[in-house]
Amino acid sequence: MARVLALITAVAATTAPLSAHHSFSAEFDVTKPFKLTGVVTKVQWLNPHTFFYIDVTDEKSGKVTNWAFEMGNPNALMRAGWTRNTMKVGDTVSVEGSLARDGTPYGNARVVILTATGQRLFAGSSQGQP
Amino acid sequence: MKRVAAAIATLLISAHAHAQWLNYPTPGIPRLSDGKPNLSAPAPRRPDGKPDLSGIWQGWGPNGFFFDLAKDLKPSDVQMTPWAAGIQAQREKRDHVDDPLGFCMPPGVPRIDSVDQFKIIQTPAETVFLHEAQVGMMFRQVFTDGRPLPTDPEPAWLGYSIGRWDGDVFVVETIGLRDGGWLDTRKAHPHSDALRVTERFRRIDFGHLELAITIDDPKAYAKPWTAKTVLPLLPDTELLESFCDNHQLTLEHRSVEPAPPEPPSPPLPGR
Repeated sequence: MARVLALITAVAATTAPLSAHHSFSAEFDVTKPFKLTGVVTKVQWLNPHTFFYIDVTDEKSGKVTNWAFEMGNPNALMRAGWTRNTMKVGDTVSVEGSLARDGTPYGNARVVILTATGQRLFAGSSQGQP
Repeated sequence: MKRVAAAIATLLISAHAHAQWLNYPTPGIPRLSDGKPNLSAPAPRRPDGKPDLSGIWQGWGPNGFFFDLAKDLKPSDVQMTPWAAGIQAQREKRDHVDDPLGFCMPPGVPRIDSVDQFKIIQTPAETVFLHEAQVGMMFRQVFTDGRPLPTDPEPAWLGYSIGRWDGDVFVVETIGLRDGGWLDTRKAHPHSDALRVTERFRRIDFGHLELAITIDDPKAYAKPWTAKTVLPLLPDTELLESFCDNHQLTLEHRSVEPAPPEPPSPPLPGR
């Protein structure tokens, strides 16, 4: 079942970013790292950035929030080992990255962890670049 | 609702479902005893003795040119004119949210050299650059059949290019670029419609392509400046399809106030 994990989880980015077509610092706050777990509701392979959505259930209130996350561009993800079957609607995943500055349920994903296998996937974040 | 979402996701993903030959051994490249490409083998040559630049080259990379083309240069090497400085200041002040690439527009020349990857196909009369960019697939035709650059060409995203050999260096001259271009994203160096780009490509060995980019733009910079880097070969892969279909969906998450209009290129100054 989807659940909210620790909010403050600083994870060192060890891989160079795949892409950053727009301003990371204008949209995301690197001082607001997060780790969220939820069920995938939508995956959009779009240029120049891929998006996916997960339903996150708050442990205490039971309230479900649909979060949106940005990743690198589809070809960069494919070159990093992703396929269209890597993350499917209905899968439970954990996401690490940086939250949007505007306070909406939106973030820049750095790592996606597949709950079923524990596999950690680099999500092509543009973090680390001004 | 979720079923609809799943159907949409499947549709969107299907456009990229064919991984083509993402991981396929490139025929004819030198290999080590373990089968891995020998990237330090000598650069190949064509039957006419010229270096063969063929291959897929990684433009995006640790050189950081995507963010700041002038990052290895002194500020005094890259002196902007007041026109260019005003544009650059506005773009940087707005945290480069107006970068056309973020709106899936073409990167222009020479910025396209630092976006994603490209394949060089070399023939006697022209050398073709096929670009797999996150903002779409693009090509550049670099003519080597002796034709001159056009006079007063219609401005274009990727301009007009001719090439020649200077020893083992392939020299590409490009003009006819559109006003309003960005040479990089974070520093947002502008250029004008008078930009003349010289790219000098030299294949150091099988796996490395030296690239020197000279920006000669008297409307934007007090004097020409040159950025140098080395691009790695991407062996055992092929270019993938890349389009900006459904790009508008990415903009749902971005709320960018329209930028004040940038002044057009000024008249050519006396030099």
